[in-house]
Amino acid sequence: MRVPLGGASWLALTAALALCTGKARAGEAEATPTASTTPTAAQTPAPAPAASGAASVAPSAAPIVMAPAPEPAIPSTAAADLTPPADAGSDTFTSEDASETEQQHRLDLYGFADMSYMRLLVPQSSAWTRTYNPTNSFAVGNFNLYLGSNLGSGWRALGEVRFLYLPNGATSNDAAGNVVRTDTTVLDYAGFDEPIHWGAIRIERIWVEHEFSTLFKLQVGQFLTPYGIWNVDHGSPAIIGIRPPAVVATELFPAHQTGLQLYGSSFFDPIELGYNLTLSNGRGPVEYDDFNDDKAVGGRLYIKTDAIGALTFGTTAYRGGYYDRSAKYFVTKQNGQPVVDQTFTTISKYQEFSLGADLKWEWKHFLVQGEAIMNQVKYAAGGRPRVQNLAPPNGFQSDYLRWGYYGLVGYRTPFIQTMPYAMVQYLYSPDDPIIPPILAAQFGLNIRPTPAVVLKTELTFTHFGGPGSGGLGLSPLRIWASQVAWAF
Amino acid sequence: MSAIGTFSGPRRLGALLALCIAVILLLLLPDAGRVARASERVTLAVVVARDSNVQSVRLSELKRIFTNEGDSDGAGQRYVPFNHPPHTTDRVAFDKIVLGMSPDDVSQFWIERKIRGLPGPPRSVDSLSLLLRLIARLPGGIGYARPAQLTGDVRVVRVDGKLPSDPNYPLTFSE
Repeated sequence: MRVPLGGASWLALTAALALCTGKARAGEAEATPTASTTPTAAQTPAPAPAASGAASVAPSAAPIVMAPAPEPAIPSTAAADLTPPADAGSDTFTSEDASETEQQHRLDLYGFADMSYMRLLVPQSSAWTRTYNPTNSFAVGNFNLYLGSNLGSGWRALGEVRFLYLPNGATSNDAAGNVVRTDTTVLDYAGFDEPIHWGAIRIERIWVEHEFSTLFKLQVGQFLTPYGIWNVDHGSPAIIGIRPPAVVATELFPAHQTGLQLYGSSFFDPIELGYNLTLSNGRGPVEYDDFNDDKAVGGRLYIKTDAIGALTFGTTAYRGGYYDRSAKYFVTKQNGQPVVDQTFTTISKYQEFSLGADLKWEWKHFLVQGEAIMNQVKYAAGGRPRVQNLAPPNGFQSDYLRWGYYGLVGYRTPFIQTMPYAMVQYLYSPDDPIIPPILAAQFGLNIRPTPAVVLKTELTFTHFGGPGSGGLGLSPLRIWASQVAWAF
Repeated sequence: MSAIGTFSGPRRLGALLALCIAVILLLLLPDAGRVARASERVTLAVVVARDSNVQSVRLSELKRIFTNEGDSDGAGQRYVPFNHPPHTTDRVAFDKIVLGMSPDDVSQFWIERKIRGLPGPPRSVDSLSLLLRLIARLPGGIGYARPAQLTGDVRVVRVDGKLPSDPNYPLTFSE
């Protein structure tokens, strides 16, 4: 059900009251590090004025004792603004006051960042020491900025961008094995032409949403695919480990989609049932250009209850197509006239189906979470890409089925909010013949000195189910990584 | 030999070690240094506007309302929760009883929710009189306060079928 008093009206009301009393403030501030890390002395709110009447109670209520108190003086403008709008559904944004206008569409800026350090615990003779990057380096991994705004009358917008050092330092290799590194060095004209590296911005999500009711909310734009736990949590201060499990990192579901998402939930005490439905371009080489009309559809159902701790179980399905092509202009003739036209050559074309199940259970200080995901790909005739590896097999990509899982258990102790955790994960990914099946175990500590700062340290032991076509599976991979992540 | 001279070597080291342990314990146990005092039973009444249709709520509903799940009342009116400022006595108690969270847990909860892209926390209002007036005037407004602080603009609703004066009322804590 839509909020009868529009968001703009609400903001106008509170803005007026805040301006007059200087005491109202947006609750969002409490999620900021300042609010959470600098506790003020416990205080009881000032006794309320009550001279004008007594509080009424529900029928058959025992009488409530009233505390007499003087009625505070309310400026006439604020008193006027306290009047609810006649039309509950309308937007009462009628003020000409500029500052009030700004309040109504207040931009909420927040985000997170992290820095990691990683070392490989393998002998120098292992090829991993030369092929796994970056190691032995301090690296700022994420610097994500959120831009949120309540637009009023059930409308809300959110953008999330990630600032990147990339493409500087990104590498690619050709068929001959040559590694080519991207260099974005330019001379800074604003100084003395000193060399600087430029980076890039990645749009993680950008959408606008309208809430028709709790059961129907429609989101339009680019959104995170609503599957499982890790992909939606995704921010380094919110996730337990340092790196996502392979089954999430390899995107058995696409991490993002561009299109529409309808979602909602209903509460049948003590159970909440919810759903997400998506219609999007699906996976593709270009976020804003779907090269055919084969749209992707997906859905998620979940059940959630607080009756036995906080327990959520969900299942997600996705079906979509992928199509990549190259293009070439040519000149043809129509009615004897030369016409510029374009011809396409398929690079890759397939249909995919993904299925996932997830479970998260928080009971007291215990945490158990896990996800199991499969992804099946079938190429269209003429749509198989060439596979070119330094080591065989080469040729054309075959249809494949990838699947994997991870399970994580942790316990949050009171000692600096430290959570020791352990994670087991498995990934079978035959689409990449270099990488054999992976079985890995991680053991780590997730420490929260304040709600906004998380310190992590983690040991990863990886066992490969075979050598892989490149022989990388011949030696196990052991990694020690540490990270500091913070929300701001 | 002076007194200082006798307090040297291993004994000084031992004293320093004991001091360090005491400091660490004080840091780790926030309540360790507090003086015990007589506790007073306090109840928090859940209030809505006088003309609201809401007569009672369950504790589980309250949790959803104050975690901004977007729930509506029986008449389809969406709840608009108002909170006390963080770290005030009543807010801490309410969060503990209703949400089952400490102040740090609450901060963590909202940080994680916002990272997930979900709506932020309910608005908190510093002034109790302003909070009560907002509840009284805004459709769907809901909040809480001590019974003795209430005004005539708001009405107390039952929580799990009980009023603040009833025995075993859930929103009761020791101050």
